[in-house]
This record gives sequence, structure tokens and C-alpha cells, in this order.
Amino acid sequence: MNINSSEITPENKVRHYPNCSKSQDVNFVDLPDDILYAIFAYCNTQTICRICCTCSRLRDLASKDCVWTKESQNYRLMVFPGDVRCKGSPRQNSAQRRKRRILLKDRCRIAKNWETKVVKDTQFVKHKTKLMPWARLHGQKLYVSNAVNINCYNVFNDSTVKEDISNRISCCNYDVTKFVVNDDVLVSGFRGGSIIGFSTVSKEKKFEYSFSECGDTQAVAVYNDTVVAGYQDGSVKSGVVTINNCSNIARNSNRVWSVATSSDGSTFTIGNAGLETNRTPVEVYDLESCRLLYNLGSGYKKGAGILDIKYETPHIMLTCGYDTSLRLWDLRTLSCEKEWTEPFDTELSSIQSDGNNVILTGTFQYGMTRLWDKRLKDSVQMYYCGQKRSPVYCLDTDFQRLFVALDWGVHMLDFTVYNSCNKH
Amino acid sequence: MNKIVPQIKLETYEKEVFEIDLDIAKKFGKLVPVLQELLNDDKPLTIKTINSGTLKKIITWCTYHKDDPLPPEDDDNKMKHSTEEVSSWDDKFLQEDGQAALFDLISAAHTLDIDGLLDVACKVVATMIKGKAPEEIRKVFNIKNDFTQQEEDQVRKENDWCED
Repeated sequence: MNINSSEITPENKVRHYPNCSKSQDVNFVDLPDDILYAIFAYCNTQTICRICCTCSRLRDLASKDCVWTKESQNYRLMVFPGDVRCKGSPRQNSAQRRKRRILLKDRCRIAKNWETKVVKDTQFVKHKTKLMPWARLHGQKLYVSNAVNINCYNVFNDSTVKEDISNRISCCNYDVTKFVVNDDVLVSGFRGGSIIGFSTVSKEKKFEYSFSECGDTQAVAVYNDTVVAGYQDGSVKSGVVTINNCSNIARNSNRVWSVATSSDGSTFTIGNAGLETNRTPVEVYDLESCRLLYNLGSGYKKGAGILDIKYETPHIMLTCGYDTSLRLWDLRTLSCEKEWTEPFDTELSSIQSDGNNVILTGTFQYGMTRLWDKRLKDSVQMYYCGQKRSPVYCLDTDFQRLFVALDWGVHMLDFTVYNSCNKH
Repeated sequence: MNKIVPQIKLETYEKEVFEIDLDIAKKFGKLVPVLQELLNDDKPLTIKTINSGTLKKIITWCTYHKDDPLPPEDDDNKMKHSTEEVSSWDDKFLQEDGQAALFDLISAAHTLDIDGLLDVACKVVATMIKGKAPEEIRKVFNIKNDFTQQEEDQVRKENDWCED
């Protein structure tokens, strides 16, 4: 026989095969990995979790991603920072990504927690008086405005949050309105009309503009070196910070509530108070020339101001605001592709999305946030936080935790919890 | 020698030589590339990891399922195929000699790459686990609990979320 029989012995192919070839001693745990995976493929989630509880070898095997691929398709919320270039998350090298990688099994658990409302509510910032805080997550750092300061908190993998006082940003006499964090620059708007860019590394001012005649800076957005800001009196300013010019590009008689830039730098969008009859509250501009390109939508109620805008792609954009509607726009067709209405008839103050099917909204009542699935008409789940009836001024998320800024403080809704007793 | 049906020879762990019809041997995915060589060779192919009892069972199973249609190629149908119930003949046949024999059979089906048999045997094992608490699973398969009390508490906590 010229065929080497070792070619078809399993030692070459799989690990953990018992050395003894006599077989009466083959125990379940001694079966090769491949076979155990094949068996797990016929088990449901509950059974897999129970198998994990039997011994360390089965726990290790049954927790591997390949066992959970099929199950993971049952959940909507499966996008996490580090997977793709997620909004706001800084670029990571592969070692950092590996460190932050979350097992598919844990993702399934977290996704299930979102859908079944298994969550732990912690207030990690308490205000002495009512404020209008703004918060932005940048990688594992959360920046939260507190009157004239912007405080920095480190968010750890185990969901503990600790203030990092060395990274606190302060140097303006006015209150912070809204800010954005872009790589190593934090650009903030202030009451009284200032826009200041800070280095997140040195905390020093990189640039400063002041337009006190325009009232409060209501919103800011940044694309590379270009800053766009919207004002209380309806003006919109745009500037390239490296050449230090900032110019007036548009003037409405109604207040600007929100600004956003597209990820490719082609356009930016202004959300205004919706008080003018010849303009809709959603206006799209060319970022380079600052020309008005489109007024989106029609038939808005008067005062249907747009409070938040989020570009998902350079062409797909979400808006929400005073008319309690969440809208999905396509800039290629210039039409509202989908529209959802907040069932509790309250204003929608803020939006986040995973870029896939999940959208999160914050409302102006009871510290309430909502989880939507783009494929469904009705919302999937809602979450309350805080004891008092506060508007949600801002929300941000790494899809494991949801940070909600309220008047009396900032809350973290932690969806990584294990304990099913935490259902609230 | 006048062979009506072409056969190949396999030698088991016990050095027992089996003559297997080509039609049956074709089901052994691992042997397919070398079938022609085996047919021309008079010396048996030795497979040390399979014992005679197991090989007998494999031959019986393959003979019974000789005329089964080939498993579907595309993913959708494969999915459908994989959720099909185990026939009562298969169920009885696979379990009649006890657990150790079943695991032998699975290992052998894996070694020889007999897809249909591996599928159905894994399904049978999955059914044996289904609905059982961790202690019961340990008992059924004689699994040694190697967790410390602390680890056990941790692993229970981590896996509690699937319990509805």
C-alpha cells in the first residue's frame, strides 16, 4: 500500500483528539473541537449557555465566535466601536482593536439587554443647579460640559466612569453650548457668540472666533480644518481655521438649532427654527462654496425646528426636532425616505445611530430615550433615567452604554450588565 | 478472481481487514481522492483510529442510506436540511450501543469525512443535551467539573441571560 495511513488520521487535522486509539474511553469533552462545534450548531442559545457552565474546556469552546454566528443574526444591535470606523471613535491600530474586541457571545447578550431593557442606570455627574449639559464620546473618553467647563471622564471596559481632571478644559467666561470632538481638537460654541478650538492633548486654545453681535453660538460642526457654526440670530458662519478666516455665509431671521457636516466634506446641513415660510427647517449647503444647495421637505408645521442632525453616510441623513418626527433623508433623491413619530407626542432632542438599522433618540420629557429599528414602524424599546422630569439634552453611546445628559446631571445606562434582576 | 462488485480493503485498529463495496466507500469523503489507487492495490489501507465495531456500524449505516439523495449544495436548502428531524431508524441505530460507541462513530465519521452520518449523529447528541441543566449535562456525559467555586459562580452569572 503506497498511501500513508497517517494522512487520514485525525491527529493531523484536529487538536485534542485522545492519544489512545482504542476508543472505549472517548468522553464527550475529549471529542475534537471540530466535532464539538458541529454538535453545538444543533443546540439552541439556552443549551449553549448551559454547556458553558459544565467545565472549562466546554466553556472556552462554546464561547468562541464561530458558535455564535448564527445566533447573532437574531439581534439588531450588533455594531460596536472598533468593528468599523464608528462615528467619533479615533483610529485604532490592530492591537488596540484586539484589546477592545468584544466576543460575539457578549455582543449577543448586550444586544438582548437593549431589546429587553436589562440595564443599570448610574448617575455619574450631579449638578448643584439645573444646567443644559452637552456630552460627546470620543473613543473611551467622554467629554461633558458643566457650565463654563468641559470635563473629561474615562469610560473603562468594566463600565466604571472616572473623571480625568488633568484633561479638563476651561478658559471662557461664558457657558458652553454644544461642542464636537474631532481627532485631537475639541471645538466648542459658547453663549455670547464665541467658538473656541482646544487641543485635547495640551488643552490649549488653538483658535478663537467671537461674534457677540449674533447672540449665542447654538451649534458647531467640524470637517478637517473647516468649522461651521450656527447662531441665535440665524446667522451661519464658516471658517477655515488654518488660514484664520471666518465669514458669514447665510442669514436667516430664525435661530439655528443644529449643524452637521458630512463625513466626506461635501456638504453641511443646518437645522433652523422653522419660522420662515419661504424656507424649510432643513437646509443643505455645499461645504466648500457655502452655497445653499437644497431646502429639504415641505409642509412642515410652523416652528417645526430641527434640533439634531446626523449624517450616516455622505448621502443619508437623519433629522429630528420640535414636530416630534424622526426623518431619514436621501440627498441623492432629495426626499424623506422614512419618517417615524414619537408616540408620546414630545419633541425629539437628539439622535444617534449605528449606521446600520438602529437609531436612538432622546426626548424633551422625563429623561426618556428610545430605540428604533429602521425596518420597523414602531419603536423597539424605551428607557427612562433620572428621577426628575428632565429633558434629554444630549445622548451619546458606544452601543454598550448610553450616556444621557439631563438638567440635574449625566446618567449612564449600562447594557453590559449580567444580572437579569436589573430589569427596570 | 472474478469480482462482480469492485471493493476496497480497510484495516482497523484490531488489524481486522474489511472489504467494502466501492458504492459504499464513495461515501467516505476522505477516501474519494485515493479510491482508484485503493482498488488497484491488494494491500489494505490501515486506519488505526477506527475499531472494527465502529467500521461495521459505518458500513451498515452507509448501506441503509445508500440510495439517499445527495445533500443540497446551496445554503438555503442546507439550512432546511439541517433542521430536518432525525429518522427513528437513525435514532435507534445510533443510540443502541450506548454513548461511547456513538462518540466513536462520530469520531470515525469525522475522520472518514462522512457528512450525512456526522450530521445525524451530532443532531442525536444535541438532542441528548437539550433541556438539561448544567449538572444533568455533566452527569449524562460524565464531564468532570473543573471549576473552583468562584469560577462556577462567575460562569453561572455570565450565562444566566439565556434563561428565559
